[in-house]
Amino acid sequence: MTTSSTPLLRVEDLTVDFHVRGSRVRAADHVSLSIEPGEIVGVVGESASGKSTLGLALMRMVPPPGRVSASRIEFDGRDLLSLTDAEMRKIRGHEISLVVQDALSTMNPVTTVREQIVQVVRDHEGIRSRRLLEERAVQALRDVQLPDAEANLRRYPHELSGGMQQRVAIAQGIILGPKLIIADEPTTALDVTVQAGILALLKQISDGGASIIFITHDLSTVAEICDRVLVMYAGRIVESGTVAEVFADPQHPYTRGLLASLLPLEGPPPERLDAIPGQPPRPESWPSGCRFHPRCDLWRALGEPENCRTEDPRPDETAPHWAACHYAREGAAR
Amino acid sequence: MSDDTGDAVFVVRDLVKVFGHRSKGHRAVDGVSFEVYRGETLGVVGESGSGKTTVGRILVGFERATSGEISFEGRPTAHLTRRERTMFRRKVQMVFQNPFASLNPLRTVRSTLSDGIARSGIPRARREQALVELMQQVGLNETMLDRYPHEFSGGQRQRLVLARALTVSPEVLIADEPVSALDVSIQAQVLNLLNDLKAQLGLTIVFVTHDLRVVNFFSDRIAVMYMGRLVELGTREQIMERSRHPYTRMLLSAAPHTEPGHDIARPWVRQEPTVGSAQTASGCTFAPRCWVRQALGNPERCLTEQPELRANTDGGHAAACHFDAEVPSLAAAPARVGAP
Amino acid sequence: MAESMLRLPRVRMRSVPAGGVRAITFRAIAGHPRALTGAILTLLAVGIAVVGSVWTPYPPLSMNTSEAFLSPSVHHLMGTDVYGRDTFSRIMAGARVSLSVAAGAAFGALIIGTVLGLCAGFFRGIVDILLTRIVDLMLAIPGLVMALGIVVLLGPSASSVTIALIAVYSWQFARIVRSAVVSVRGRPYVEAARGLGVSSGSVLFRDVFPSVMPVLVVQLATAFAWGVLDEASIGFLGLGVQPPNPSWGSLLIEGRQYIYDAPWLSIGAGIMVVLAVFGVNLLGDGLNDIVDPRSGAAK
Repeated sequence: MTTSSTPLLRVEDLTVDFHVRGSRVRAADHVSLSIEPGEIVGVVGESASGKSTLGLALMRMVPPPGRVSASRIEFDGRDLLSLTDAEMRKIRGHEISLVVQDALSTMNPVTTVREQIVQVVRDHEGIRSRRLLEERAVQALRDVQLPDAEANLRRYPHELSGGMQQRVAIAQGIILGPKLIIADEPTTALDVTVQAGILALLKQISDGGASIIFITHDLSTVAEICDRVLVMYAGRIVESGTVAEVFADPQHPYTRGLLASLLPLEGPPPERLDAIPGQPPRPESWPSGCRFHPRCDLWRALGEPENCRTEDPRPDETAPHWAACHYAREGAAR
Repeated sequence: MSDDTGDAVFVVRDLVKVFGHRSKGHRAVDGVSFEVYRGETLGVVGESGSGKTTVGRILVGFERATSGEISFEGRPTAHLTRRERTMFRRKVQMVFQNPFASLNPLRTVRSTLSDGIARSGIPRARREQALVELMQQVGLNETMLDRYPHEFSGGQRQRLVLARALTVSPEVLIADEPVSALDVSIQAQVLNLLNDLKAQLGLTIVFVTHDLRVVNFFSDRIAVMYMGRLVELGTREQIMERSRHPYTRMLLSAAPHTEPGHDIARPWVRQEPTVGSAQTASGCTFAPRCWVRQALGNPERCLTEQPELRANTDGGHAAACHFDAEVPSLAAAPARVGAP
Repeated sequence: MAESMLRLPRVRMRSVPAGGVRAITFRAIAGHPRALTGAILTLLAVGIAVVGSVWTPYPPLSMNTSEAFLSPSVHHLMGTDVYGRDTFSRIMAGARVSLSVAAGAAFGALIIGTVLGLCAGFFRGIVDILLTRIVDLMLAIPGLVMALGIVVLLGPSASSVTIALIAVYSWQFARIVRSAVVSVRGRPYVEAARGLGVSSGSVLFRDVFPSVMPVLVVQLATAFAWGVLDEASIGFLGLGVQPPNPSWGSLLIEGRQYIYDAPWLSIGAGIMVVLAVFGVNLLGDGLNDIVDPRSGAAK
């Protein structure tokens, strides 16, 4: 996986702040990442990790009072930060799409499925011919493997099952052939059999050339389809690497903890789970130094070294697999 | 994790629940029978529409069955005297799914917990002490008693929900997806807590969930539901490792693997049920999606006869499939199953 | 379990935010901009009413046609009307009538409507069906017609107007309370309370009603506003407060006739109505916030 081609998306020092009642709350803190064309990158985190905010920020859809700042957000050679609202609107849905968790809430309940899909095409490409639009709509449903396209086009969103609604939402997202799809927990609310189908669909879409940022809290779905993974904690990326590397050899204690919390599906279950103690911190009260240190068993095992409490780990983010931990090597050795 | 032939706390026979008019309403539960034994954890697994939540709610008494019999400790729940009903209310408690809606946002923790404490027979003088001990038991600080639910995280709220259930010293907990809404790292904590409480208090737990991993960790026996019917019942090992029902096998294979590099070729997870899909009136409810039926060349029986839940020689392991004996061997050779 | 009570770095413990009815203190209101504004305006209106019942700059009823239609000045803060009566005095005098009719109607309807709505929503079944039908029936009768009928029966006066308005507003309250109760009683925490064996009455009082209160407060403020205006309509038809006794509503109606020549009657009365209604609404809104522990308004 060489990076000889220029990355599709390059983000440096992305920060999202919310100014609430006179104080500043930081949801994402100097996040940097890059995405190659055609790859699926998983962003894994729990509550208040900043993963969803990151997705919104990339599309410049962070609602006020949120403010986004970054050294660079470069997409396909263009600087997204310098674009006007009108230019950004053209990009949304067309070159970068967003697929969210609750598909039904993104759809207009009083218009048919056909109308929802066709509207995207009409707004962006200005096509008015009903026949052409119909063809595009039918093709879109076929592309997401929704059977019985003609009948489903006539239906209303609430008449579809959860999985079908998600497929329609994905159809809306891919109909204009975007280069990047940001999927924020697209399968979380779905049954596991339905989830498997959606994951397979996303993989297929990526095989067709699109890149996907797959935001989730579920590590097992990341293992299913992602090429690389970014682990986020308290607004920061704490580990980054290929899925194979991170799963086989996690370097950050948090990642190790997450992997250990995954319940096995095969074999007799353990007597007790290796749970990470405490709760994920809220942005208003992030711990000093390394934000994970209060919950870190490695920190305790090493006798609570001072630098974890005072210094933010600044790893070399150019390495293919890195972790933001002062004692990454010691931890891996244990 | 014992395999006791002890007394059955709940005995459920032919439970049916129809929402709406009898003949044309929605049959959420369609003839379910099983037992819950004292001290065990029974995991009830199913996807949306399986009826598992409804079964849980009927057991607790929040819904009334349309037909069928449920008995609790030998007495049919439909005919309890007032006194017995109060006892029942105390002994069987529910742990709800959504930690954000399960606690009254306008009442302090102390106020919410005192509902049960007041009913527990603890003398007034000892109540404060009891509250403190209860908080400690679920791993929370007693300073939290005077705070409001919205100040707590999801995991902490779920602990509060558990605490509330424990105020009346129940013997049975019906837990409906208690950890699904929680962060992964917190799920592990709460599951550990449930395990500890179960051991300390000798609780019988009915654990309703869609998550096979959780059910694998936490259950002694597992019941698999599909579209209102019980399709498989057995011990954890029997279900997770030697399942004889096509639907269970499908669920197991659909669950994402935690090891990257697994091929996601699942030839049998292709069709999803469409809304209002045609179902043969008398055949097996799973037939339209059944990969075994396909592999066996569409036998007639699947469309004409609804399979009954039958046990086989493997001690209490029951599956509702005409061809249950062949499921394990078919599952071992998925290459034989073609694309739809 | 010790794993979850770990030694976190000292987190600043915020003072316990309060909630519930006990949170309504002078301090809480003073600290909440909307509640404070609302309280001030409401007190202003009530103050004018109280003062106006014992003293006004000019006798509200004395006519002096030579002084008719004077623009607002130092002598007559809001000018004079067609008969030379000082508008400001009339507003002050009318305040007491208007406010008491409106408040009486709103509170009366609140009590009756709440009882009906709680019973219907909580107990469901035949009680609900019966009550809902009655409410629907009553709501189908045009409010003004019903009110007039009652006023005629009882004889025109401020108190009969109050009773009439209570009779008209109660059903709206009942319906709103019922739907609020129905939505609350399905919530898991209410189910949990019943599962614990808590008596219906206790569940109603401790779990259901507090959640219904915000809706009630809003509806109360709305009913109050309508009370002022409906009192005026009834007065306009000659069945309420009889002229020449002033009330805000009747002043509004009077002022309408002369709105091009002497708009200050309408403006003056209008401002008072707006202030009172606005004040009550703001106060209600602010109180809702203070009572809700999630808003962080009470500290």
